Amino acid sequence: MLKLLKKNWFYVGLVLMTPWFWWMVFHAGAVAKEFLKIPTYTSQRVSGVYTESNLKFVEDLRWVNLHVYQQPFRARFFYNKLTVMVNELLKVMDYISPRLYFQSGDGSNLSPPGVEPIPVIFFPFWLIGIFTLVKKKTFKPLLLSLLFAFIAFVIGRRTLSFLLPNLFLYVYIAGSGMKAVISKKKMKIWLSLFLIYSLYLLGRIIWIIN
Amino acid sequence: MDNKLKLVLILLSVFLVAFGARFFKIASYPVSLTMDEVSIGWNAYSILKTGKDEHNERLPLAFKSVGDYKPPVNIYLTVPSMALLGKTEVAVRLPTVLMGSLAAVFMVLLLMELNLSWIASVFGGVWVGLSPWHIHFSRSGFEAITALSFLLLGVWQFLVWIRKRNKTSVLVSITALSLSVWAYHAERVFVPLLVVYLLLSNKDKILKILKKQRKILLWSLLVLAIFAIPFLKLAIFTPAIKERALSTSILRETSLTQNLHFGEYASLGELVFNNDKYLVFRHWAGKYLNYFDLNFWFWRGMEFTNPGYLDLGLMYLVDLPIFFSGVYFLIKSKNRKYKTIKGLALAWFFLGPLPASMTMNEQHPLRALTWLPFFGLVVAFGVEFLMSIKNKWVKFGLGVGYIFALSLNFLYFTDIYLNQGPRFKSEYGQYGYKQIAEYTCAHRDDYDQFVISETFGSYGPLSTGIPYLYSLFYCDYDPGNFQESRKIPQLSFRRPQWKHDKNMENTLLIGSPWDFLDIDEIPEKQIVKRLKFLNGRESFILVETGRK
Repeated sequence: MLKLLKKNWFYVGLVLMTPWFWWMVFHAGAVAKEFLKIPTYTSQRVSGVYTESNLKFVEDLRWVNLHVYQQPFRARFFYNKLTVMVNELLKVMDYISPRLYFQSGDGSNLSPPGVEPIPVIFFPFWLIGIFTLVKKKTFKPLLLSLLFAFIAFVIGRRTLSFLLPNLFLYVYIAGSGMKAVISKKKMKIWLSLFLIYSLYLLGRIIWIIN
Repeated sequence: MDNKLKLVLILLSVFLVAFGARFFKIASYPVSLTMDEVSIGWNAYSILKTGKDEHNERLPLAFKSVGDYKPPVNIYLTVPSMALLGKTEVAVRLPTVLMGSLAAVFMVLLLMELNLSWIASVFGGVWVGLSPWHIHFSRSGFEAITALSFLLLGVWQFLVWIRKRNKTSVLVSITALSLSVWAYHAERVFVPLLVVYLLLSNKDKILKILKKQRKILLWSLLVLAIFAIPFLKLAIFTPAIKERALSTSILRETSLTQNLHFGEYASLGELVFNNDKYLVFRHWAGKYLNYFDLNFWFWRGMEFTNPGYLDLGLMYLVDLPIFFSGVYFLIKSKNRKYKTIKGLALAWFFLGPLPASMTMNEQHPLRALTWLPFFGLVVAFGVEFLMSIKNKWVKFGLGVGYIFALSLNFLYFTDIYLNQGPRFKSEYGQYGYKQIAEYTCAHRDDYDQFVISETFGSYGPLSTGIPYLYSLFYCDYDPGNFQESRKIPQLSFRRPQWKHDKNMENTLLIGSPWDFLDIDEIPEKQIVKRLKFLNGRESFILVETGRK
């Protein structure tokens, strides 16, 4: 394990710069409790697809075609249980939204307060990292981040605790982007800047808590 | 067939597809002229008849209107339309319909200049032509559409100049980009940044051209000065530019300002860890990142229906695989002929949402319209990639599949746009004020006065309108008289109050249900008419006071 960490010191260092990591460490107990609730959350999620409110909007959208334009086929073709399912499935895209990771957090007590979970200055490098990994045909980190987002979606909780694997993946992707555009010579300077900003964020969390 | 003729026919076809999607039932959808449209219409009519705007300014470069200082380009483009078609909804909307249709043509030309095949280029143009994002705003008289068309023309001609080194192209480019800045607010931020990118990325070629043709620089600066000097004069010496920027700035957003300290910090800790600079930066970062949302792009960006309902994204769902194919191909391709498009796409990707991110509102598709060409470039590139597949049966299958899926998506869009959207969103387009204006016109001789409310809404007096402009537009008032007096005979605009106004003689009070919460005290025979929004909820009630 130590060897692995030493080999990947760069990425480990970046993870240590994220408020998200430290927040999870200091709230490990609460995170573990959340994980124990996965079965409950998941069954609520699955049974929540065809709720009254979801089916109500289908009726509401059918209303015009049925009662005003007398187009029952069109009403039923576009607005039915399948479209409710598609509408629900597409909510998975909310779980990979960059804003969640690089600015807002999830708003819960398991999200670092008042700061971004991953420093927002990592965002452009994260994008460049995606391009870099695609260019190198290294799709695993990207596919894994989608997979973990999907798992959190199935659990039905858009929280950083269930998206925790994506902390490491997103930082890895950002790190790949940094390595692609920052030369070895200038890397130390950039890392110092990232560190200063990260320390500022950590200081801000401490100030907010106190 | 001659190549030029072929090109003209292709461009004409693309134009007609785009025009058809935009001109179909243009007077009826959207269901009402918006505040901006009626303001553009009335000011264009005022210019046509008197040479002055509603505030008595002769040929202004910024139209004060209701204090929002409208850019001038769309209004002046509407003047000939109004001369031809009269004071009608079609006259107000036609210029933007035409400019929006031209955007599809300019997109084809831009993509061809970026070395894409003619199939991919035409696809890109048709994609703009059938884009729900572009169609909606093209049909609603929005200045952003005009600005975008000029932007595309300007970028295309810039690239043509780099290749051909002719004077005409660079002058057209500067003119078009300048008009784009004059046409809409977002371009005032976007265009200078894009121009910096274009100049830096082509600096070697530009220096070579200027070494051989020094006069081009002089001509370019002259044309630029013609547009820039008045603009700078407006920006520095009048509130026209500043006022609009400030009124929509994120610095006015309550969710931000309630946390700011404005220089007064309670402690050193607050000064360091909760300082205003970081708070503003963080707030802006949230706005900017909000635009990088796949749901916004492909599923619910347009907000045609209520929150939580099925909706439509900026692009069709069927474009999702093509978009990501385009991204993949852009990253993977090593072909040098695509170098320009790669750089341009990357720059546009980061710069596109920047103007919108500096304003209030989350995910504003109108203010983010400068971003549209980025998506057009990428989907066209996706088609370029798919066309490179060797197996012609796979290509054929993909093509047929796409056309089928697109047809379904487009049908769905027409249902959402024509049937559902008006029902849910009619009040946001000021629906009802046209009917009120026409009613007051028709009954001018029946009443001494009309009192018209400026607030309305299905669920509360939450919206504020500008009924005076609807009254001016739909009735036969003389612009010259209004410019002098700023009053419309017999009409006053305020919220009626039955308790006090019932004593006015021979007056028609027109208000929302929220203005008549004491409706039970009003004799039924004095309630002249009840109007409804398209969602079935009451919009306005017309109540007459005692007659003489």
